[in-house]
Amino acid sequence: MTARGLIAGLAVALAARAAHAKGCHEVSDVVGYHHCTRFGIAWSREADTPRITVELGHYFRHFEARPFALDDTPVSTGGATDWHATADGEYGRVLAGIGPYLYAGVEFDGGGLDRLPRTTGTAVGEGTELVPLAVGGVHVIERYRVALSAELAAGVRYDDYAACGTEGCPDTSQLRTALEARAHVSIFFHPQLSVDLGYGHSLLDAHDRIFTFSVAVHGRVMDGMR
Amino acid sequence: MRRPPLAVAAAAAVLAGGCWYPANSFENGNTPFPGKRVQLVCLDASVTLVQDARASGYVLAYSFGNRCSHATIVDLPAVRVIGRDAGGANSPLRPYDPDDELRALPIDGGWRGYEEIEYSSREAPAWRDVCADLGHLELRPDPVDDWICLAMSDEGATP
Repeated sequence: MTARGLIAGLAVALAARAAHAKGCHEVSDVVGYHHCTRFGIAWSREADTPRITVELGHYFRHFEARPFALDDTPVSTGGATDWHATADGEYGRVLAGIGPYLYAGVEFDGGGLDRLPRTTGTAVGEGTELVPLAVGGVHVIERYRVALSAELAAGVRYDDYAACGTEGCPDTSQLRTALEARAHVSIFFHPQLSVDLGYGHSLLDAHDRIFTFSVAVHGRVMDGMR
Repeated sequence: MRRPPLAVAAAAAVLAGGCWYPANSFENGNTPFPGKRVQLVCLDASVTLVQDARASGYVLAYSFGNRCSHATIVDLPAVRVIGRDAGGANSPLRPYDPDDELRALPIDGGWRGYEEIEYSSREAPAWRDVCADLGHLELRPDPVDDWICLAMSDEGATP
């Protein structure tokens, strides 16, 4: 997680609140006169507010690329080749609660490759990754402002490998189905803000796993967990 | 793997800074709870009169923090409020709640809250004091009355 990433996450989280405030001009703090808030929403997890969560952070993924070559060299899986790769980048998601425990939403991961696959022939010089996912989860346990959740994420993962960053460089891309089981921990440092950690493991590829670190803004105190 | 320690430090600072309510502090962040204070079983609470451009009645601002480690119920609808005139006669005041928002709600241990509620009565004499029974602010099986009176002249909150 870069400091820039953390700050960006916080900035966007706060911007979301600011946008809300911008869209709704509060005229009074008094119950019955306020327009942008409701009684209890800032301090009670049972107040009448939607369970919406906006989460932004950083991810780190380890996976194994499918064998490929950037030129006409025959694809080989032995010798000096190594298809293990790592990627890291920014990740964001928006989740909506269903009842007190369930939630679902969309996630988008995008970043660059750190560790590049070693191919035969032309070497990979850089790579990028884009991963749109649908996410569903359930809060399993909540104690002392720490919530543990189990999640399932499904979507596609697009990885692009190139010999260099300029136009006309040899490159190739791979698109594959993603299906991950995840554990997610939210540590609330404010009734509506949490620092989150996640670990996911692909159910389709034993080499594919993801770590996440993020900051989340929750529409309801403690995401309404009971 | 690029993981500058600055990020870890920033996260630790955020976590350590937190937004907890320090027990017995009567503070919201570094700002003291305004008004007169009471200490209930779990709640540290205060009440004061404030002015609001929209409200035409008496607006009471409640600040409260839960110093217990477990949740407790904040029962603002149960708080009785009266207006008292110069002769000592009093009259009950009713909260303004056109959207039926007011209800007893739990607050987690170590957290704080703030609400402003307008009260009014059918009669509209010049009340000398407005008094609120904060003993009922925290939902308990055996609440004890704890009346706090706020002088209108002191607060300059005459509607």
